[in-house]
Amino acid sequence: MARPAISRELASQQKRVICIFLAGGSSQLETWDPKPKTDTGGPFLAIPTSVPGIHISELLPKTAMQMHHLSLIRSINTNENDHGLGRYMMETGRKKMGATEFPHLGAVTAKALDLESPLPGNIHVSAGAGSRRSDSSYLGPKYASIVVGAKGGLRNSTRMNGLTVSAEDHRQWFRRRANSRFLERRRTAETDAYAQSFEQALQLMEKRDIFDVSKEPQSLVEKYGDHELGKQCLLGRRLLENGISYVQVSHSNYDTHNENFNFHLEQMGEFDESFSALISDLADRGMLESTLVVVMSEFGRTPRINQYYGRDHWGKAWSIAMAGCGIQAGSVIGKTNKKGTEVADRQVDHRHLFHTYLQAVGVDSTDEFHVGGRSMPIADPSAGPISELLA
Amino acid sequence: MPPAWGDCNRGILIDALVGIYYVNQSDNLLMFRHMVTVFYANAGAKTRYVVSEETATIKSQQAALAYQRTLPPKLIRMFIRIGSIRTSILLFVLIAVSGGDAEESANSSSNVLHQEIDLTVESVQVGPHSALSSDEEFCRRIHLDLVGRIPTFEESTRFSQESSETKRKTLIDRLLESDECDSYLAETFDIWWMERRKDVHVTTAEWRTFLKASFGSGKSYQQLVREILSSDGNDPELRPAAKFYLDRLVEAHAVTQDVSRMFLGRNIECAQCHDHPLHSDYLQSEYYGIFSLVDRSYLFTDDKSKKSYVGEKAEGDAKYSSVFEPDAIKVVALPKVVGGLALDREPLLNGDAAYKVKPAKGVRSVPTFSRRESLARLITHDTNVAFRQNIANRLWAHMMGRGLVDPVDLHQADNQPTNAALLRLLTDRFLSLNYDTKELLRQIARSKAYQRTIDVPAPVIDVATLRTQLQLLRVQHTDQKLICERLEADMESAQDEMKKRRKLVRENLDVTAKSRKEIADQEKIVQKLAKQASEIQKQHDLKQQLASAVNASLEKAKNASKQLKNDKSLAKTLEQIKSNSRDMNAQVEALAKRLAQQKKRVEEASSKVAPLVSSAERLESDHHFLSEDVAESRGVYRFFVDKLSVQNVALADIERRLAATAQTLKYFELAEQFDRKSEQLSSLIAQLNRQTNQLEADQLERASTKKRLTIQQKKLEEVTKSLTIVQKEVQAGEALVATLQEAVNQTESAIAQLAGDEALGSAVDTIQHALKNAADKQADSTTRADRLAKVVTSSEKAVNELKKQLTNLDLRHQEASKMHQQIATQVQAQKEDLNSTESKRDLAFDQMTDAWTNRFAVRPLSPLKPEQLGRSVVIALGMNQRFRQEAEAEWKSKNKDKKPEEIDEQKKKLEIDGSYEKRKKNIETVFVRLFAAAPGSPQDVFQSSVDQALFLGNDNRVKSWLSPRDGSLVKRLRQEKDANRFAETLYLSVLNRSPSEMEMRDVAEYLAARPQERNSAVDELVWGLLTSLEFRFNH
Repeated sequence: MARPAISRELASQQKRVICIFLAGGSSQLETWDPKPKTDTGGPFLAIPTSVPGIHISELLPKTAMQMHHLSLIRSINTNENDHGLGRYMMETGRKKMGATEFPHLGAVTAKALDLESPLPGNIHVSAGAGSRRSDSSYLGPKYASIVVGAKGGLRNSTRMNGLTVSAEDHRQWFRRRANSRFLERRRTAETDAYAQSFEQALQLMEKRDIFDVSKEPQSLVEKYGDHELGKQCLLGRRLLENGISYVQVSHSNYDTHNENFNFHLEQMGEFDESFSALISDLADRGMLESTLVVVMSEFGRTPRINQYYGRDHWGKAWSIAMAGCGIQAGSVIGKTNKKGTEVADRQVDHRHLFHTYLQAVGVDSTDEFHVGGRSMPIADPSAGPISELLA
Repeated sequence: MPPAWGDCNRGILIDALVGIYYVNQSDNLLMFRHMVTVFYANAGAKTRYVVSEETATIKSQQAALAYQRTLPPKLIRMFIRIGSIRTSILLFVLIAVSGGDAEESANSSSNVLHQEIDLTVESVQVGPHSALSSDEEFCRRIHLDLVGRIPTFEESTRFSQESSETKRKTLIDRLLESDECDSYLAETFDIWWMERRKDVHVTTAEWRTFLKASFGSGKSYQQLVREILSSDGNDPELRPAAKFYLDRLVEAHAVTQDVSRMFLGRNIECAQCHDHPLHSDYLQSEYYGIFSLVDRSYLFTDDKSKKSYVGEKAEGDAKYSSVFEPDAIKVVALPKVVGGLALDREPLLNGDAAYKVKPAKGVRSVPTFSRRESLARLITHDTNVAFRQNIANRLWAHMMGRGLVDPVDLHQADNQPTNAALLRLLTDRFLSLNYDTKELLRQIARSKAYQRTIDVPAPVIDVATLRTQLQLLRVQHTDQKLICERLEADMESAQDEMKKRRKLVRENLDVTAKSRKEIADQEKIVQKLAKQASEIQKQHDLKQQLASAVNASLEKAKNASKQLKNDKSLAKTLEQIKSNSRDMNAQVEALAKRLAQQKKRVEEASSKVAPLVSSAERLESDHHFLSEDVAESRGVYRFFVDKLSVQNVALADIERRLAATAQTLKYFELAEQFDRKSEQLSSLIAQLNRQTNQLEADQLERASTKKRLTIQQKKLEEVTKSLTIVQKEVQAGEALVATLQEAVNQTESAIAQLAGDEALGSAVDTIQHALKNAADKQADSTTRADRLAKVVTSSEKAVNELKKQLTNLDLRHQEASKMHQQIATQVQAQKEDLNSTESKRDLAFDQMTDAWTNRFAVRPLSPLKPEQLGRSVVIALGMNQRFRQEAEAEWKSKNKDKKPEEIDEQKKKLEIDGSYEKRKKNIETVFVRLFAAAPGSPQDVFQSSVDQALFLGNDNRVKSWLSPRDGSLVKRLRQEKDANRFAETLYLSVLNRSPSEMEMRDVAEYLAARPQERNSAVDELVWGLLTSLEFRFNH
């Protein structure tokens, strides 16, 4: 948190972020930036969308109807073709170099939007419940992502096996009593934080339904799609609705060196269903004005089609999509050339995108975090946001 | 025993004197120290010395006198002269030297370090110090800090029961010598240096074994770092040391940043792309100074073994420019370590000479001159204060829970140490302790500062003295500031002078270059002309040859023609030859002429060279002098820079003291204010109470007056009524008397007419009698009426009086109420004011006590590190025995088919030990995963998160730790029937202390209340203490 006052202001507006990460590198040509009838364009056509003049791949018919909520950035050049490094750049807004690890978007968002609630601020939704990840770097474990499963919910959120309600009350009483004796000797911010974490845990256990996607109505489950991605997106929305600052959902695997087209045909079908349902659901609930939605990958795929009907890694000219939180809806930023082999206008990279996400949720990305007496710029100081995207 | 001066040869003496001369010239204290080392090293004596700067002449002379016995007299005289003559900074030199007495004198100097620490800590404290901790608390703390875990139940009880006065010292020594301490230091340094990164080329196990062996063998910290920073992974013994490079993939930025952060305490990462935007003293040139020392190194992987090593090239210079100035020309980095030395005299080696092993495909190149090894040397050099300051601060932070500079990797001007003198002391003494890590830890552990409690002492202070101190400090501050300002001005003008002289050198270089170019040009011309001349010469010579041949044949032809006079064709030929010869000779002549001309030209051109050369030589000799001028002005500049930095430190010290004093005073003033205001408030409240009482009394009086009035009014009414009746009686009586008088009169006149009528006479008598009676009654009534009238009058007066009184009382009441209201308002305002003063006072108190903690007058509270927490859980719950049993069982089941004679006992022990350690490690890992910061980021940041609490509250692993097993705490407690012994075991096992009476009662009551669920109650109690703050923190 840069300044407590900022955080309070944000809390009143309750901004949040959901990021859908298409792992492996989805193809911009089969999604946001189709080039039909060119030798790089592949077999699929482009279809009109709810915004006149904007066309996207025919693999996304439902998403096309939500285009008036979306913004496409078609001019990304991260110039990085390595999965790990590309992902790192997109998730942290920095190039990986040197010894310092940078916190991921989730950790940064959770810290900057810290609501001081018992709920964790940074959640990765996956198939099953898991432990914490090391993605918060210098922001510390409090902001590291916690893995919540579409099955299994949040780990350790039910009372210890065999422990009765009264036994729980008793042991908590004894713990508090021991603490109050110790606090008579010395009290610091650290002692408060540790004692408080146990109270938060108890409150969180009360709220564990938030993490249970089965509490959502069947009609919505069907709308989002009765598959892993659908459930994860639905759980994601449920979490956002209940005050969690950042949710990340992953869909894999898009690393289509072979059979790029068959594969995208299959994968995009799922994505189209879940993503369009998410956007319209958020819009219906009036949450889209305060929720930033980002669909990203570690990179795009080569315009050149290889001998296995695949496309390879491509960081030079690719696209992502964003929506919500005052991002200019129904717009397209930048463009690539005719065959999609180069950025032709308004080139941006991971740094600009990272600034943009944060500014969209009201965080001054040019400010600094202060952790343990150290000051760290929130986002890469050598770039700024894509200002025309911000309201 | 002083060194045998007579044994030293002249050469050594000269060395020493040259050293002193050097000091004299450049004020280079460090060089002096270095020379002294050289001197004694040559003399074959072990040296331990401390040199620090003092401004007092007397002190240095006294010191010199005091150490006369150990210092050669010549050195002393020289030293005093330096001190008093050349510079205003005097050198205060303590040289404890030795042959035989080396150990003793070394010990005697280090014995007092912990006392010096306390003196220094006490000297900066403004306010009280907290008390020394109890044995129980000390025992827990020292175990956590030296072996990384809480003491066992047995260790705690044994230490408490010991009665020796030196038992703390004994425990410190014993722990420092333990194998566990070496392991813990290895772990600590590993986390400092690798920050829990994932293993890449060297395993953590190998690396920690190397570190552990280093601590075990007493290797100096300097040597250790030198090994780490110079190892290329090739020498099997030092291969683990190469982890620092190899696991960073020898990536130059990664290495640069971490070398600076971890060994110099300077987080210069931002300076990679530009001068640090926040910290004015972190410069890009500093970053690239280190970078250029590691940039030539690279990760080399052997094709066959797949093993990786550090390779290095002999060429390549790092260039950089700021990202803020994309158009700026890139600068070539100067290899150097900031605050330390630059890499000078790098040999210029070319071709084969540049490499020991030349680069080729699949070959790890090794340069003749290694910049990486230079880095190891420059970083760890004795002159590099930052190197020692960093480790001194980190070791202090390790023991105290907080660095003198905090965070530990942000040593810089805007982040001054909380006690600069203490950091200086530790930094200096670490050198005299020969970089002995454990010795410094020992000294810190023995200090009172280390042994104080976390409890904030009651603030008792003499405010008047404090005020005087504040005044004094203000004066000192003004003076010191003036000194610094003046020095700064001096430094700036020295800098200007240096710049001016540098400019002259540059100009001289430019002119020289131009001049050299002119010479070269001229020489080229000369060469060209000379070449032309030599060509002409060649042509001439050739022609000459031809000409002489022709002339020879002419001679022959002439002779022939003489003999054959008539031969016409011969004559013709002769003519022909003659003409040829003429031509030829003419050509030769022409060429000779041209040659002469050309030679003259050459000479002319050559003659122009000499003056050019001499002018260039003049310029070059100028350069020499100008360079010396620069060196001199640089000396002056450095002199002021050093002096200024010393004075700035002094200024910062004064400022810190000033701030501390002002802060303490602020608290006391607020406390005084609070007391005064609360006194005022009480007097106001008393006034209000008085007013209230008065109001109440008035109220009473009014009531009684009103009552009296009522009574009086009633009485008046009654009297008035009686009066009316009586008056009516009087009137009636008057009428009766008149009637009777009339009757008497008429009867008497009738008698007069009827004289002697007896009846009439008796009637008159009767009437007269009646008249008298009536008159009497009348008189009586009148009297009564008069009296009553008087009573009425007085009663009326009384009523009026009372009415007046009542009105007055009402008025008074009104006023008193108003007054009461006013006072009540005042009381309210005063109360609010008091509250705000109270919260201000409390804030000031918190700030003051925080400052006491930062100054280490009170022990800081610090959280257990994840590994400490894991190990402490194992100890507290008594899981060791269980792990041992499990390890043995596992071994047995694995080896059940083995016959007894096949079993190698030693191997068995090793395997069981390994398996036991693995189990303990598993628990540590659980805590690391939950409590540690992300790999590759600073690990000293504390955070509590909900998932930690969820884990401790609900995870099945925690449940299994609490299950009763052999030797486990829960099992022991479940069997313990006596509530007091139960409480004793519980508290001593988990918190390493005996329970208080209240706590014993709590436990007894807790158990007594749940006889049916006793086992659960036992688990709950253990869990409650295990998750308590007292367990979580190092106090």
